[in-house]
Amino acid sequence: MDRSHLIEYYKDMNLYDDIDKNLEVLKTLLKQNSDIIFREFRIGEKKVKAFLICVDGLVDKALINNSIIEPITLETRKLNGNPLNKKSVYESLLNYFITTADIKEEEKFGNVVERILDGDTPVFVDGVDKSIVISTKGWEQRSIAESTTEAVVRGPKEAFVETLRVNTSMLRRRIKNPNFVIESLKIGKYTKTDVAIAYIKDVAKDEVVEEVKKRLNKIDIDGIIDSGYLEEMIEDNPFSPFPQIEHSERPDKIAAELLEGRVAIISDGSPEVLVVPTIFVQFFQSAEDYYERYYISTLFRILRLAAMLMSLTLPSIYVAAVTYHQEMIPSPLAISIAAQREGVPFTTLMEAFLMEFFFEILREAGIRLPMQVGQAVSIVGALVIGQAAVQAGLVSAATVIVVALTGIASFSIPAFNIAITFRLLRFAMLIVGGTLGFFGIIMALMMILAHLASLESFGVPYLSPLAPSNTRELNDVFIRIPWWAKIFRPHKVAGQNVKRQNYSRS
Amino acid sequence: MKKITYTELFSAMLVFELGSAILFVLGISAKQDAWIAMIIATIAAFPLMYMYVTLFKKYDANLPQILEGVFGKIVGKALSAIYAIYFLYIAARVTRDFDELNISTIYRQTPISAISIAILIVVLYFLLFDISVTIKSAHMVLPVFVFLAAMQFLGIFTINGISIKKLFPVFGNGFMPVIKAAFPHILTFPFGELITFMMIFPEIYLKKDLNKYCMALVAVTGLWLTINTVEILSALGVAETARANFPFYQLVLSMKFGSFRNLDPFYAVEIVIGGVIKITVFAYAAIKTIQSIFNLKEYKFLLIPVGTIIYALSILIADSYPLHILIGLKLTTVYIHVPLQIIIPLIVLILSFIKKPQKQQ
Repeated sequence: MDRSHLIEYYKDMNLYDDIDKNLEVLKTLLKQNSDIIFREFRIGEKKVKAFLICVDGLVDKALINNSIIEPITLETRKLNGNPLNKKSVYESLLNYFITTADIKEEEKFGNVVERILDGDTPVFVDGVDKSIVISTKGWEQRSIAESTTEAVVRGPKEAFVETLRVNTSMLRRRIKNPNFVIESLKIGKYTKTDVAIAYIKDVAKDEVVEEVKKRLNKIDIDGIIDSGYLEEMIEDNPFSPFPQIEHSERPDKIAAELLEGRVAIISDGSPEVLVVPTIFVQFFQSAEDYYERYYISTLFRILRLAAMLMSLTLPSIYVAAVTYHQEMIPSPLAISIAAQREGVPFTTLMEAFLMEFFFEILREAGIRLPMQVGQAVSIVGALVIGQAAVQAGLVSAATVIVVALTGIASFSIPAFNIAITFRLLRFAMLIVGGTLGFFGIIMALMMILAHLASLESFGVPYLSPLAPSNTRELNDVFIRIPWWAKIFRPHKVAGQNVKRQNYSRS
Repeated sequence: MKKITYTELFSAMLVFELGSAILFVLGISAKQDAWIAMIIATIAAFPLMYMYVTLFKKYDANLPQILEGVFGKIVGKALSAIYAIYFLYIAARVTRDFDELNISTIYRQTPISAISIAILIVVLYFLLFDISVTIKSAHMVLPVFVFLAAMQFLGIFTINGISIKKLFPVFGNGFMPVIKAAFPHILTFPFGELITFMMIFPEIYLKKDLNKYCMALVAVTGLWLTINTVEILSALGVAETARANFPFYQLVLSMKFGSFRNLDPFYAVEIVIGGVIKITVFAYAAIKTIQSIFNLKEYKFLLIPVGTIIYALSILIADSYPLHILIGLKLTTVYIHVPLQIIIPLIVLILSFIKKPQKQQ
């Protein structure tokens, strides 16, 4: 029989009480794996046979040496003159000798193998059909570092890492309440990735939690490498260009959203934690908004909104105005644009389209290039989108400015995933702007609006609290009200339990 | 699922009402008293709206179901068919209005069919979704209307020769022209067109305060359009207003903010948005009526046929723009709007008081 059949065969089999048989089975199940360690030893005067298995590199070796092997081999010698039978050896190991906190007994081969590959260490004793599985997980991991994709000036700096437990600990440290629940499940036939669902029990809506569990349980895939897999598998409208699930690598942000009644989905191996339900305006809010003074945050939010609109429509409005609506440009500007365009061989649409295209190439190259040659891109970029291109007579200076402005605007949107969406739609907007003018732009914007209005994320309308409108919640959309006035949670998200605080400034 | 809230419905009805009505000075036959005609029509619109809401509340069903409940199956279905054609026709008329606006102002070399097709593609896209999406979108664009109206209010003072004196003398031609302009003309367009919302009322989440919101809507619409009329008349004067194809457009064209002038494309935006919402609502009403007549479970497959019919009608209903306007003023109002918006609902209401209404399940 090949191994997958063997594993299937032994999955639900009980362990034998004969230690040699157990060893033999486990060796066949795990054979050819050079990183698996089998350590056999004897216990006490009667030299009861025992062994443990662990995966090199996944376990904390110091812990195994000091808390398992040392007590078992050295301390049990003190039991001289008090000879133990096999059963009581097992019992005393369980109760006295193994000096770690997290211990569990397993009876099935399948579970034992799974735990071994998780980085745990089972200890087998002759004559007992059970095994003591000791949690010894410990591997090399990236240490907690500053967030790189969501940097802030003021606020906590730490970011999630690739290890699930570290991530949950960062959340637990912020929300010290027994009602903060972290449930876990495994997804992926081969990867057996740990996925945790975190929520605050009396704050999050039960229906949302149930829906998340239902959608996650439906997934039957070979492996989950990043939380991006999960995002695509559980989002409401799989064909929409708009992201419907927010992700963040900032524990402070996730904790704040849990307090708003959202549910976090943490996937092992990914520093990006997903949060549902998500609404559109969340993508324009930065964690810093809530730490900085509220006047300033309000200003930033309005700036970002303007940036969003610019990033979506500026090139198309420029093309439409120059091509169809020259009369609405102030005359001196119109004349100067016309003068610049004198030597340019392309139509404005073509010009803007090409420039946008080159800009996207430069941006993509900037991300992929190794650090050492990164400078080359900025030099070449300044030539391509800049004075040189204008002097060469390829494009007009106005187009260069518009394209550059649009690029900067799209980088000022805090969420990268929605910035890409706007970048994508910008090309479509350019084409309608160049063929139908303002009328076409409005038509396209109406279609985008209709699409947004039709989206839902886990039962919450994507455009709430704008439509369906909730005046009470508009205080955290375009403006941010001060914390002492933020009495309520978003009610579409939090359901019944909306009260956040009692007013304290009377 | 019923998803529409009152505020959304209110916004949608307002956008719907302003959509094309804002383009024209309604009741210009009353000369400088057009704004008084507007006010009179608004006052008369309250009982009209009240009638629609009462009818809906009594039966808790949409228009064809009410008609069938009152007149029986055969007559009810026949009347519903007339209403379906009516909705399609009005959708085509509105489409034609926007076609003409676009080709006579900005897109002088674009064929009329291109504009029609572009509008109807968007309308059909809206109808792919639940009607609540249209209503929500209208709610989202209402701030654009408010903003542009505020800009317009500031902007008119930059127009040369603006004077409130152009509204005088009040009642210079006596009362009759004013009354004649208000009835049936302004009462049927835009107020009577609210009958279309009888197809949307069943989708509202709650029904208790419906009357209050609808009355408020009539008041706000009347006020908005009255202010608009006063602005246009005092800026352009009666003669130029009567002469212009699109007086509103003429007004915004004359505004200037410093070196920014000819801001009409921005207002074209407002008009086009309103137009799309309006056509979508009419097309939805037509589709829902057809669905009700034939007891269809699904209506999505009607989108393409209905879209095609509206497209064809929008081009075929008139040979030229003056003819289109003439038909609208002389024929549509008297022979189509009045019976369908006022007389039939009134008969239904009277019959419903005589007959005991049976709630449809």
